Amino acid sequence: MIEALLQTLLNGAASGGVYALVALGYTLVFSVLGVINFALGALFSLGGYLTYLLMGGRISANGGLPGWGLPQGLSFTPALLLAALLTGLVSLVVERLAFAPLRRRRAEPLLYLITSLGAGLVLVNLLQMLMGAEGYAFPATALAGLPDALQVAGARIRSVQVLLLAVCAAAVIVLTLWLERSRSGRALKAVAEDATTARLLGIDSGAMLRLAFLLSGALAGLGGGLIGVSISLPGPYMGISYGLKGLAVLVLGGLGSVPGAIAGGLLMGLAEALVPGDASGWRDALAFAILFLVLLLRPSGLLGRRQVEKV
Amino acid sequence: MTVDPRLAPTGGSAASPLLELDALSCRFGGLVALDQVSFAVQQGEIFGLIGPNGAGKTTLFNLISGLTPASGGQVRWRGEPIGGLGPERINRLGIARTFQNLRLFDSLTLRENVLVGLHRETRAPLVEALSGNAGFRARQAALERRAGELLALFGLDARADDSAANLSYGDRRRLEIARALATGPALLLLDEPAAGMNPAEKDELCALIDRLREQFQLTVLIIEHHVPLMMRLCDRLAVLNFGRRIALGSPEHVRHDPAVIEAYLGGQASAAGERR
Repeated sequence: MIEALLQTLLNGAASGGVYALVALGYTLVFSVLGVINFALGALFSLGGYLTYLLMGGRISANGGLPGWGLPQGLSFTPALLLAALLTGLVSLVVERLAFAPLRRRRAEPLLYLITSLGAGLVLVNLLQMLMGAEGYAFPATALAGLPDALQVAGARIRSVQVLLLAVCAAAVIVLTLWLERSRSGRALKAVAEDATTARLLGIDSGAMLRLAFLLSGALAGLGGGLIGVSISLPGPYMGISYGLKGLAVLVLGGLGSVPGAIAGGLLMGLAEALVPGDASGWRDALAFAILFLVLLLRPSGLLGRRQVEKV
Repeated sequence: MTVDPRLAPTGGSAASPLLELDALSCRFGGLVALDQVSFAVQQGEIFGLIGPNGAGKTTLFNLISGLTPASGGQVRWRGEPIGGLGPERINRLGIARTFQNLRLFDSLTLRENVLVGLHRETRAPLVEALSGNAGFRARQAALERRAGELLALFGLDARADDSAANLSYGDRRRLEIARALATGPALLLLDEPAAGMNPAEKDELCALIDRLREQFQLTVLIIEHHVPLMMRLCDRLAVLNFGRRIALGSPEHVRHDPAVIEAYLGGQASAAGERR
């Protein structure tokens, strides 16, 4: 009984951690640009596929390249980190193609929604073209060296969930420390609060924006790789549902708030995990019911700042 | 442009002023905010800009600092045209400014506000920053000290870790100047720095600006409505009215300029008359 509860809570915290990563990805771009990057879900998928490929996974590419794979796969940790970095770089390309042209023309913020959604669709369809629509399962040896279960306080729990939670926690801690302590983190916060004033103090706001996109994509890629290895790659659209859930978490926690994204992610993950297995169809219903409830009581989200009148 | 190598070490050619506005114009649709304004600011000067509300003073600051493109004319910095450069490039050339309606980073502490100004000096190779080696830590400590010193200059060091949002109005003004100074400017643009201060604070600010000029070898271009303060503080003044420069010269000269009395002081007198 205790064992089952512990496992349930851990499952919830682990998927909550992944939701938090996605929500933080949205938060980084939102805080600097004030818009949602709808391509983030597609980048999540990309991260999953890149991790799979880098670990030497075989693909069929719609039968075009049956059984093809990298001759020498990496082990999980370097593959995951490299996949996250590559996803971050693709995120920079998305910025260049879907955001930069609109910024130059000082377009309506609403238009970014369309271009980023378009960029996301292109990415997902590219994945489908190159990798096929079929699902892939990571080889059983993907996490070789990691025992199946851990003994915690007399209860046996699945270790892959522990790994997920640990990686998410590490990513969140590094990101927070970087924002609080580093020169670029401070500059990013300054640009987020008032880009014009930051520029007048000699800060290149364009470079900070690209940095936000790079990190945002890397976080999504990390999430994709983690879900891929812990569950599977069900298809190129896998990231879309995580992207939507991340969006809900973003609103739940409060737009633009880093602690809000983390708290919202955990709350969402735990709530879903507490839905009994035979009612699992109600998971999303519960998740969005919580979102409605929170927004009714606190329209600016759990930890969102009250909208301050800008001068 | 070639510069005689013997002149180069003195920084720019001796002939060109630090900042030069050449027939600068700015139109917003049909409204002419600035109409062919020209003047030059010499190295080390405290140069005042006065004029009634809506005369175009802040617009002029926006043009110099790169926020608003000019519709005509040119801004030259040490003899080189800088029109069309972005605000961050212009700041890096050595021009910093403050705002009439304060623009602090309210989510940051006082120290962090100043550290954002020190951004360019904090450049550290990524590897060093990640490994946190001794050189990096020493430089971090030096930066924190610099930020502390700048805050101390304005009597704000005791509250360095407070949120900027909690400061009184006068202290917010002082913090904004400290942050601008942190970028290491040669020219400081102050937009109504004494607004909202009481007479004693105004006197203090005056003395401080004078001291900053000495200590940082600053040149100051200042907008302020308080005419007696400007007469006392400035080496030279330009007077704007309806976007045109109507007078230029020493405080004594400007005070007795008939155009100024007519358009500026006279305008106020007649406005007072209307109220009566």
